[in-house]
Amino acid sequence: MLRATNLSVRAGASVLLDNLTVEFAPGELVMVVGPNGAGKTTLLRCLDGELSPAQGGVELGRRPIGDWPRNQLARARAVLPQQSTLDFPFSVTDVVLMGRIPHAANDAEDRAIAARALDLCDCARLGERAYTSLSGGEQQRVQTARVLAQICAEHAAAQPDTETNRFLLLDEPASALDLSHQYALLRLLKTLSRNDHIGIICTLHNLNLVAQFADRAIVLDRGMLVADGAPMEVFTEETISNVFDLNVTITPHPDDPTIPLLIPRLFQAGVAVDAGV
Amino acid sequence: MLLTALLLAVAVYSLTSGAVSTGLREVTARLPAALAAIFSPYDATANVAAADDRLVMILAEIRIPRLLLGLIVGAGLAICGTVMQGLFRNPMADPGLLGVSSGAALGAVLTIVLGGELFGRLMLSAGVWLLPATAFGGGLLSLFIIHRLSVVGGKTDIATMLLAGIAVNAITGAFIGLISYIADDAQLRDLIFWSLGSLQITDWRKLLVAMAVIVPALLLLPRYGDALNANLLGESEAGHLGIEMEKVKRQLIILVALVVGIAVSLSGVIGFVGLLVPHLIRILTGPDHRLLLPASALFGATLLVGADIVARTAVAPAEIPIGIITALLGGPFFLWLLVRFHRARSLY
Repeated sequence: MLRATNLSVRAGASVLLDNLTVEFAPGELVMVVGPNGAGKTTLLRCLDGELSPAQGGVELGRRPIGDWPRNQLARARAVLPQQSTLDFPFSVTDVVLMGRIPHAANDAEDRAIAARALDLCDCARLGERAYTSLSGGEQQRVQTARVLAQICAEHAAAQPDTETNRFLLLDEPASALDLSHQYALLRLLKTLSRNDHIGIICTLHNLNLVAQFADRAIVLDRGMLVADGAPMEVFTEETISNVFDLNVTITPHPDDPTIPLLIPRLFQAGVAVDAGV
Repeated sequence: MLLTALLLAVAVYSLTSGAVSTGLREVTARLPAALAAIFSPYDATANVAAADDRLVMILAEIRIPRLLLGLIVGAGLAICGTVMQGLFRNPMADPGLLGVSSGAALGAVLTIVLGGELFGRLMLSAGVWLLPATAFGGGLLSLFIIHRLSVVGGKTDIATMLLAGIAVNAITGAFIGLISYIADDAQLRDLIFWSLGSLQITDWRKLLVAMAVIVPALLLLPRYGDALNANLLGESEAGHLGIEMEKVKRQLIILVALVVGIAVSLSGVIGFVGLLVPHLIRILTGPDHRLLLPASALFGATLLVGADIVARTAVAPAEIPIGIITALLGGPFFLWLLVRFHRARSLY
């Protein structure tokens, strides 16, 4: 269990997170949505233990996250940041192998895991390419493969404590991906949360993707928790309009009525906004 | 493998060349006697034998210490350059850039010129240790100032650190200039020769001091390969991968200050080794620090010993300061690298 209690973060006079309490379970796919500057990244940075909140705290498996030995923590949770600065020409495989640094496995096993992670992210054919020669979207997929290699199971029974408490934190992992890779990524995350029992917390801007794949959606606005629940409950026309300042119609998805489908309106209070006039 | 072979070849050639030129066979024949003279300085028979044979003397007193100094200084400077480039995720970083070298140089220059007044009797009693210690002190002080300035809230800001390095370089440069101005003629000649770098060493005790510090550091530094690799992903990412980056940075900075301080105190300011070697090795091995660190050390040692051969033989029996050789060879070569690889957008 990953739990944030009464979390507050300030930067100077502005409040980045305001008394937030959320909980995440292994095996759950949770997506955090909200406008730019809502505190999504700040929340992730608190959850991964990088940022110490001004108030409140984060616990992973009943232990404050700061008390975890760094190396053990690195085997229990992996983090994909919004941007990566790597500009040295490592081969793609070497980049993914860096995800194995916290593990004391043998080389062959590391390579097998890295190859599998690359395959999952549709990067198998990039293996020997220089990372710096890849496109933005390809780099993002390779970085995703790196965090998968970090968190994916080695010997499932070897670490009972971390095994029950593995988390993957992803900050906008789809921002540079084309449409089909966005869907492929989310299908992959869903599978990982189900089959490998990993808790996945992911920020995302495409609300229809969230609606289709998330077990739970968390809506943040100006550092405050606006809603937390299944997409069907959380995504209401009123909430979206309040938080994103955008008028939408929400209808059941034609293929699956349990999935809400958000359609931006062309008219706002009878006035055309995006009607191409 | 290739690098080790290259290093051995250069080392052997270095022993055979010099103002008095000698054949390989003569050197190998006399090596045991020379080593005996080195390892038992108070053994009368060994020393008598040594005194009888001029070449044994040359080997024991000049060429072997010089070779060893070249090896450890070259390896030390190159591995420090590699560490700094990895730490700053910036291929332009090297100990000179950080102000470590110039800080160490200031410490050493102060001791050379004002040592008599400042330390008085201490200068006589602690002679061997004094210069390395003040150079290390100067290097560490520069690093400490830069580190204090650029570490905010437990995180190091790379841009601030680089800019602070430039400022420290300027300040120490000014002080060195000032001290040179008040130095007398003999000291000034010492200063100039020393500031251009030289591997000339006649005091075995100094060499042992240097080896006692640099050799352990050379063995320790390659263990940071994984940490430096992860650091290239970004400092937070390294943390996410379970590496305590703040601790690692502190350790690396002290090790670098030690190695550079000792190297500068013994051989002056030898530029370009720390910058050039990591680049060359990256072309061969790629950017993986687990390979890059030991390979840089090997090649740095090879390069410096090679440059020293040129320094000793080009205008024999006179000597060219080795800093001039490394700059003359290194500068144009580095420019060529820049043009060639910048065009291919794969400078590092």
